[in-house]
Amino acid sequence: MGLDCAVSARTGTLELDAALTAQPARPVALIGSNGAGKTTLLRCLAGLRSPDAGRISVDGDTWFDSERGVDRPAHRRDVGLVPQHGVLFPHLDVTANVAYGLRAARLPRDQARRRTGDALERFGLVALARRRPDTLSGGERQRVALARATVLDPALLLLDEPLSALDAASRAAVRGSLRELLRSRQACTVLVTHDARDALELAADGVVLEAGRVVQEGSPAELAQRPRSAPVAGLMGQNWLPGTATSREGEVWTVAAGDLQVLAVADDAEPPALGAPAYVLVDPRDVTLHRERPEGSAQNAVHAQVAGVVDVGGPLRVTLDCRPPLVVEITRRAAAALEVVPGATVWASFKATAARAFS
Amino acid sequence: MSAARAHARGGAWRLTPTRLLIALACALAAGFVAIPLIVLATHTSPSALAAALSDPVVLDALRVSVVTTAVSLVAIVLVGTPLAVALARGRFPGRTVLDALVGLPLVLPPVVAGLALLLAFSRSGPLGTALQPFGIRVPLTAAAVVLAQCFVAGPFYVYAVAAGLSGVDTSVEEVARTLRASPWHVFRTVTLPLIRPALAYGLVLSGARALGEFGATITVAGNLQGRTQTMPTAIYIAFERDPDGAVALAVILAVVSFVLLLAVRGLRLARAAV
Repeated sequence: MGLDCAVSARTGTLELDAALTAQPARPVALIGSNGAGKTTLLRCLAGLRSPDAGRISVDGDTWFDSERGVDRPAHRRDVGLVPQHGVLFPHLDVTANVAYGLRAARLPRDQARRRTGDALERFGLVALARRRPDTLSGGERQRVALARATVLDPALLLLDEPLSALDAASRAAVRGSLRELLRSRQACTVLVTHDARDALELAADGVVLEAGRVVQEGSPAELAQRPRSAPVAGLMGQNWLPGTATSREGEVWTVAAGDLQVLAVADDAEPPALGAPAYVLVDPRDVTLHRERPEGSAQNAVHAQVAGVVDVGGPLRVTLDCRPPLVVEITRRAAAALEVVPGATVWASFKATAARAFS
Repeated sequence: MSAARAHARGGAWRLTPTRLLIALACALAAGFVAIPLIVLATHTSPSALAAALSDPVVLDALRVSVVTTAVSLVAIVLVGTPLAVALARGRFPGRTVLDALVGLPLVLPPVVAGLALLLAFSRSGPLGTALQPFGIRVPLTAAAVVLAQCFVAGPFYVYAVAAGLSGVDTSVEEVARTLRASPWHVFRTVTLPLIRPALAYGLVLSGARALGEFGATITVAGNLQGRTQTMPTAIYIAFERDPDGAVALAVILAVVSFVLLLAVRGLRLARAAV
């Protein structure tokens, strides 16, 4: 049961060669930076692009098999797609957009009407039923796209960066409806994202794609806690500080990483070795910012300029201009109180116990 | 439009050099088209128009023009729409050549087009020989009128629709495909509604061109009253014998064309308002 896929496809400079499985009721996050091949893989699954080779099957049903010459066209796949930016039918109102798939599938009229009504209600679109797409906000459009893609309850639901086009406020709202939707779904879902928070909040499993290859798999929480490479750590929003283990004092190791001397505790599974290359992993939520130099033992303290502040809804992500750069997540209130703006100078601190050193 | 926008912003409308240039160009173009037509209208009288409209020769010409134009439009839509899809969307060898070939009648003098059609469909021409076993003879028939009109007017439709198709966001059609819609269903329910303005524009342009077709028609179809004599050829013939009657005919044709144009404009406005 579920999705079973292994395909290769070449587009421009990208050579996609990836395997992906998804279990029913366990949404999979396909995580990767721009150009990693996420959207290409999604298009292969939807039937909008033929892979060069491989196999795709959903619930035992073969959709693509290069060896057997099977390549089912998109409209014969039991699939639903929410493209980036929603992409609504501009000439149809909200109701007709949502009902499109039901009509194309030639469902009986009364059944189609009932299911359209249910979908409008579920996504809070009843008041907008007669509106045209060009009169809707970004968040409203995205909810229409979700309703349209799920009204047929497809065996495989594909979401391409469903939140990336939204501003911070509507992002939080749409993420809420999306989470509810994914919790209630019994079929397979693949969610493309480059945002760790989306993966953590929405998906049960995660697959990280880099330059067309799967580089790591696991639950999003695992990927965040134990990234095995800098790109994975970066994608999961973690600080990945590469350096050398220079000394050890009891539980606490010192790792020289760039300009920083980081105090960290050893990872249980892969502890560092003295004098050998080591990596330190720090969760941005464990780092705090201060105006003055913080007091305390076994503390890491970094004095640096604020390079940038990113608002993706929820806490703010602050990047500090040190080497290696450090990312910090703080609440809006804290950011306002500390006057954290690009160019300001701040102290960042984190406990040694919040930093884990790997070999 | 710009004046209205300036008022909406609360600013006073000022005559800038750019606006003066635009206004002059508009006035020149309007006068260039309207003045000769007004002069034409002043050279006729209600009684002459009434006489022309009861003349069986005129009524025949009007009927032939309207019927052949309608048939031509149907043929142009049936062949031109898939052709436009191929030109706008297709990736095949020879696409550029086909594109240029489709546009050739636009730059060819209509008489040359008529001559080429006449030679191709004549008894000894390749197409004429091919049709002979079926007993079909094209030259000097209403079919020749339709052929001449399609040849000359078709490119206007094809190019307009191809331009409309190029403007459609293909990701909208892709979403439709993931919603159980077959390619034909997608074309009917998504593509066609999105290119409707381009379709209407193409129909008006090629319809008007077919209605006014003269050079190719008279060359390949001749000038047989009730069969191949269209309004333009009737006007030309009348001009040699009875200039006043020709003027009346010309006014009738101009009015019919103008009303057709206005009707389509109105239709588009009404649809846009929905």
